[in-house]
Amino acid sequence: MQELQWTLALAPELIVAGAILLLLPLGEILPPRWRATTTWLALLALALSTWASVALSLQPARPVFDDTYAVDPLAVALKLFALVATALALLATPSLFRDQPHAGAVPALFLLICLGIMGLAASQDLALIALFIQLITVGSYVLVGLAKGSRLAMEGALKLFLFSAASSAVMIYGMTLLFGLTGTLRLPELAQHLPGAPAIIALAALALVLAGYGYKITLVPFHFWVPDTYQGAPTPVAGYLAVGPKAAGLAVLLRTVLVAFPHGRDGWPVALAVIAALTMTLGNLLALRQVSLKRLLAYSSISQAGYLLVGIAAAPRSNLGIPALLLYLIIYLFMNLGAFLGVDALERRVGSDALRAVAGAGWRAPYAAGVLALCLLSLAGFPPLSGFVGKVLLFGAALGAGWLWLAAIMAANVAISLFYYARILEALYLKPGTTPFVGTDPPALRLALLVLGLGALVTGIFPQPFILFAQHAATLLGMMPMP
Amino acid sequence: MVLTLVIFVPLAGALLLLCLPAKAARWVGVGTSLLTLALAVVLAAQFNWHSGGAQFRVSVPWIPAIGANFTLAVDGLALPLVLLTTLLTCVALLYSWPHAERPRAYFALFLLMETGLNGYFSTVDLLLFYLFFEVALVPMYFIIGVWGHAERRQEAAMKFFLYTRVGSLAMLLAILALYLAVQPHTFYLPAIIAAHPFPGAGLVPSLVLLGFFLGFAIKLPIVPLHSWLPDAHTEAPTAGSIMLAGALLKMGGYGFLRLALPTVPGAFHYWALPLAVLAVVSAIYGAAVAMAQSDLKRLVAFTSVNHMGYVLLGVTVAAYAANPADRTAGAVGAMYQMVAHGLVTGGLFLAVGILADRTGTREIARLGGIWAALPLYGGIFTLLVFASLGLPALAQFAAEVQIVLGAVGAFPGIAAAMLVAIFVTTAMFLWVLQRVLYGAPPPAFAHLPRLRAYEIAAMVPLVVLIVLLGIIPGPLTTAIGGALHAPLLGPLIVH
Repeated sequence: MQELQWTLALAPELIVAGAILLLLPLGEILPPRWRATTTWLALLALALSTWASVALSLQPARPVFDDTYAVDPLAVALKLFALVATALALLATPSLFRDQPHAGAVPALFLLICLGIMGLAASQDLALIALFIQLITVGSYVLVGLAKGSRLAMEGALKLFLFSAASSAVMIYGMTLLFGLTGTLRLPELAQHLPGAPAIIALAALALVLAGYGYKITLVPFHFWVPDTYQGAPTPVAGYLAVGPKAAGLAVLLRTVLVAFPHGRDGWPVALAVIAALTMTLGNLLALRQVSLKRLLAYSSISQAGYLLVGIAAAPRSNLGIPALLLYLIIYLFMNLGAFLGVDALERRVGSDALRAVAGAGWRAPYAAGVLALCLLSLAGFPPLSGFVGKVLLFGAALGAGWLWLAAIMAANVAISLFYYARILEALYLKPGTTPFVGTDPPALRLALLVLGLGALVTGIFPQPFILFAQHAATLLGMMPMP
Repeated sequence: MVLTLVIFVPLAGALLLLCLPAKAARWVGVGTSLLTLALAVVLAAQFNWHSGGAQFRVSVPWIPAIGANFTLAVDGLALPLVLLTTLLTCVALLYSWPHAERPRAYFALFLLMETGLNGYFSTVDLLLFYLFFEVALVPMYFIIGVWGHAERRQEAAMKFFLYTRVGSLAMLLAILALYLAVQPHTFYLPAIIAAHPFPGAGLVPSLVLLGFFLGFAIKLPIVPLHSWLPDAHTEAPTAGSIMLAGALLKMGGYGFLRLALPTVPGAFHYWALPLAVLAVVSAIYGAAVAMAQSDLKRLVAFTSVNHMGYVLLGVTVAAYAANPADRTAGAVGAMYQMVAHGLVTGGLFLAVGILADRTGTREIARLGGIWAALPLYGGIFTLLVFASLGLPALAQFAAEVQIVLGAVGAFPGIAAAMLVAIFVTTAMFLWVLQRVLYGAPPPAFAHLPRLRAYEIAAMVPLVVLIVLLGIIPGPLTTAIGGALHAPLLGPLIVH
């Protein structure tokens, strides 16, 4: 009976997993002209899973499968996040992969990553965490390398794989240390046993684990794979990788430090704050000189990861921390995926993602360029777009934690970032264009852009329900009470 | 209700423009700005000018989770600037009628900016205040960058964007510091003023003041934070310069009075003397550098640095002087100066634009004899120049006299230095008149086209108001003074 209840609590994940098992062979069996149906079936599975997640959110928070898996508001929120992000990214793919080999497998691969994100956000067990991280990596690796003929794609896939292998090895070593110290892999039990262990080793183990998480969150210094991989990947895939796995990494980091390391609250918050400052600064500085839009957005998404990390670092000291992180994640989904898909739409029209190639796009491809501009202004934090509200909460969290230096560094970074976002705006609207624009945007891509652009606008103008949702989702199972 | 309309009718017009064909853009653009002006006039007619306190209060929950509400109210500080904004938008758009390329985007951006400005001047919620601050900023970037003059317009737009953004982020941190310092956390300005979280002049209040200073001094601008201004003003299209000098700069001075002065009075008092020195340096520098300019538009741009220096001086007097009468004079003078400067410099940029349209040049060396070529234009230009140098019975005199009177009580040495600045300005402007207007017109200028109806229509309201504000300063002074002593926003001038 208990097993049945536990299994029911996995309904959202099981629906997605079932869809993967169905779609993976189906995509190869179907005749080419029917292959697009796999995308619609995947969307249907996502819708069903969303329904199951919403139903789950009405139930009380509880652990399932012997305390290894959490069904709590944070996990449910991240499930919804993954489902929405996957659906929006999927909308851009059928037109992009049409008539390419393995096009039928693409939706299944997206679902595979989605499953990894959903699982990662709910895992309370280090072994499960390692497993789901690998699941995300496998899906990402195949999606990035799907364009077998392209040198950039091969390079991107290879970098992703090598960095993943290295950082996972380090992470698993850290997990082994933790197991050796305490005899358990479960986060709630770690919290009980770790205070008895030597602090220096526990801290070292946490640092090693952070390597694996940092790779997914794209924290400095685990970010080196990001620009090459995003540039080589098909643009919707790059946008999806910049949003989904990053959110999963942040969620699992949040759960790990808050549930397993409550006694380390004098140490890790400051360390994370320093990493956040480094990440946003380095990401921004490296973005300044990019001439490829995808590389530029890659560095921009690294710096955004730095902003997001502020929420986790400040969580033990400010009750704005976790809501700020979650609100910013929701907003980041709209504006960052919107920016990537906007670039995708322009790239398809001009055949290049060079900054120079999209000159004048604002007047010749007003729809895609308009959404891109909106999302860039939101990333730069201009009200009334949503990036502003998100940043206000993050600033508030940093100041509330008593870190004026962090708030000041973040403000300086937001100012610096305007320089490269404005360079894109300059290309879109201020510069005369020479490249011819071919064709029109695919309708499904337009729909995705519409949803994302409206999302970036509406969450900024009416943020109240989203803040309430973020505050609700800021409840973690087994979290020690905040001071 | 009317106040809400004054803010959102331009936004509605901007959205409408994006849905209509380009042919209708001019009618919708100018029509919306005229409608907004009419609404603002209705507001002014209903306003109790005698009391000057906050009126037409609207409050709707916006983000209750973080204590931010959509709260509007205008008082004697805000309403004159709302009227100025709506008038200048009309003037700028009217002038743009035959000039605007890509008219839909052009008019939409101006109207969006009007929404930002009107909102900024009429809100008493700090988060909303910041929101409107940025809403007014972004359209100007595109206006300079897309419709600007020369090759350097992109650079100028970027400089403007980055400078203002740095300042606004510093201001945001200051606002958040105020927000977090009050229990329960709120963005409602009167509540923050009443709670008085930063009374002294310690480190934190000084940092808050620094944040506000960066935000508003860049906008104003004050030397050495001014270097975006000459480029932005020079490269912007004429209508953009009118709005930039006439309305956008006022956001800085208004911010000092509305936010910085009442929330960190102790720190402002402590730092008033250095700020006053900076203000006067700015004023003298602006006038001296203006004198050295060869481009007429750039020259007018630098006079803004000069005149905004007086504004900051008035504000510092209000923060520093021991005598309440001096404080009042400083603050009233600063406000009056902002309104007057908006009309005068808006008019000057319009005049320079009209001239450049005809002669094809803004080089002072290539101009000359304009009065003989265009008698009506010469008369208007002379009046504007005299108003700008502070001739009695014209608007800016009434302002500068109050600032000087306040300053004499607070910092006599600095008041003397301000007189030097006024003297340099006078010399500079007279020299301009001599070079541009007098003499015989060169043959190329012998048959310049007369002023057209739309140009006169744009100019007349400015000229009339400059004269009226010069000879009847009473009503505006009373309203500003009333706002300064009104209880709702916390009296700026404590007796």
